[in-house]
Formats: sequence, structure tokens, C-alpha cells
Amino acid sequence: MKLDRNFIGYEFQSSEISITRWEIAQFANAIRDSNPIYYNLNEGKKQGFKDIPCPPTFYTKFTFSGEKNFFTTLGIDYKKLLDGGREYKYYSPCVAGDTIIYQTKVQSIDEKESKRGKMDIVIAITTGKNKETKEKLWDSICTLIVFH
Amino acid sequence: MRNKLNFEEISEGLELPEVKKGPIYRQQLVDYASASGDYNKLHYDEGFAKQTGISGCIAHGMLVMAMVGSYLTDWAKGGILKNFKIRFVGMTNENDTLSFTGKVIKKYKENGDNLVQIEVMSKTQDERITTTGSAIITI
Repeated sequence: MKLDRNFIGYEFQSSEISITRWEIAQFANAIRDSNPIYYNLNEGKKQGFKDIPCPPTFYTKFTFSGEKNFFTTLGIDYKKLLDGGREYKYYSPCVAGDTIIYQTKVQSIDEKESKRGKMDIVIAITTGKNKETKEKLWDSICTLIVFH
Repeated sequence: MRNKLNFEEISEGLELPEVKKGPIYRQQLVDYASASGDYNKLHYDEGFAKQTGISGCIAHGMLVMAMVGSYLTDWAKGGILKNFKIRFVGMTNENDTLSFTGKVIKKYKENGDNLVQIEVMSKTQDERITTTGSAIITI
């Protein structure tokens, strides 16, 4: 089924979250990254961070903002969904103790033809900002493939 | 403290040493589901995975991207990623061991920053490519 084009430009509610050292350590362990900067505050500081920094893909936790589920809102069936890829643009580092605000917007939905038939390519962009400094931290650009 | 990379010693065409990571066991898939909040059962419930028509549990695409990220930050020794892009081209199965390779394709200065652009790829033990991508790193 073709996705509803009215969702192009749709913005989900923003979300707010405080980053903790424990969550960073948990994430670093899950990806089996033993870099001490993710576990030990002194090591983070030695590398010039004011606290323990987030690994580059830590923000995958914040791919979609808002209370409403991204996929059910757009009417995406998980069984027809493929993750096409991800791009991160990093503007400023984020460390434990920071409170961030992030918001997701549906950038585009385009129809393409593939070997498996027609599909919609959905591009969703989530932007993260530091709540206190208002500084932009990252953009996550998520490409989803949804077969009709 | 780790030694920093010397920007002057990096040249375009330089290949990053190959690194192997894994095998990716079910425990890691469960750990990643919990750490990332992605609880799609495809990654840790074999029965469910088979219902969707695949032969067993597969790794989260974003777990593989995270492993590529570690490969890059380990190589860059404190260098900061500015841009990081991955395309998922094949499935990484449970128990796969991935090997990561990369190459410097561009070296340049911008606004006083020393930057390198890297092309990167992950392959399974049977030579299947699972991700391709690129990154820009401030050295």
C-alpha cells in the first residue's frame, strides 16, 4: 500500500531527555567498544570532554521523537519495511549530564520501482539540540524503504 | 592517553588496517536491543524471525553501523566524526564475524580544521558485504 503523501513535511512532537553516564556505558558495552572514554570520566576529560561523551551512533536511541509511534502514525507495516541507511551530521559533542531536545520531521516520501515491486522511500530527519545552550548537536537522516 | 594521529602523515589513498569484530552472538543482540531501545523481535527471537521469511536472527543495522563507528574512532584516536553515512546492503546474521576496511579518499583543511574523508565497508566471514559508507573526521 502506498503511504499517505499528506505526511510529507509532518513534524512529530519534540522529546526531551537527559543523557546519563550509565546509558552511555550500557550502549558502549552493547556495541563491544572498550574505549575507556565511555566508561571512565577521567579518560573522557583527558580527551577534552567535560564529561563522558556519546558514541557516534548513540543517538539511534532518539531516532524518532514524540509520544506517537512513527511507524504506526505513517501506517508502515513492519513486515514491508527495510532500513535503507542512516546519515549523521555532527555539529557539537554531547556528553553525560546534557539535556537534549530532539524532533523528527518527515522530509520526503517518493515512489520508486524495484525488483520486488513498487516501494516508497521515506526520509525522516531528526534534529537534536542542547536544551540549555540551544546549540544544534546533530541531524540524523533516516532512509526507510517501504514496499507497497 | 592515546597518541593522536599525525595529520601530516595521512595521505589520500591510505588504507586503514583491517579489523575483525565478532562473532555477534545472541547475547550481544539482546544487549543492543536493550541499550538502543530497538526491541524488534527479528533480532533475538528466532521463531519470529523465521515467520518473516528469513533463516534466523539478524543483527540490527544500527548495531553494525555502531561497530563501523568504533572502527573509525579507534583508528582516528580521538578524532571527532563530523559526518557519518552508512547504507545497509546486506544482512548481518547472528554469529557472523565482521571485518572492517577503510580508505582515506580525501584529505583537506576547512575553517582551520584538519579533515579526512574515509570510505568504509563491512564484510562477513564469507565475504558478503553488509554495509558501505563514508565518514568525515576532524583529526
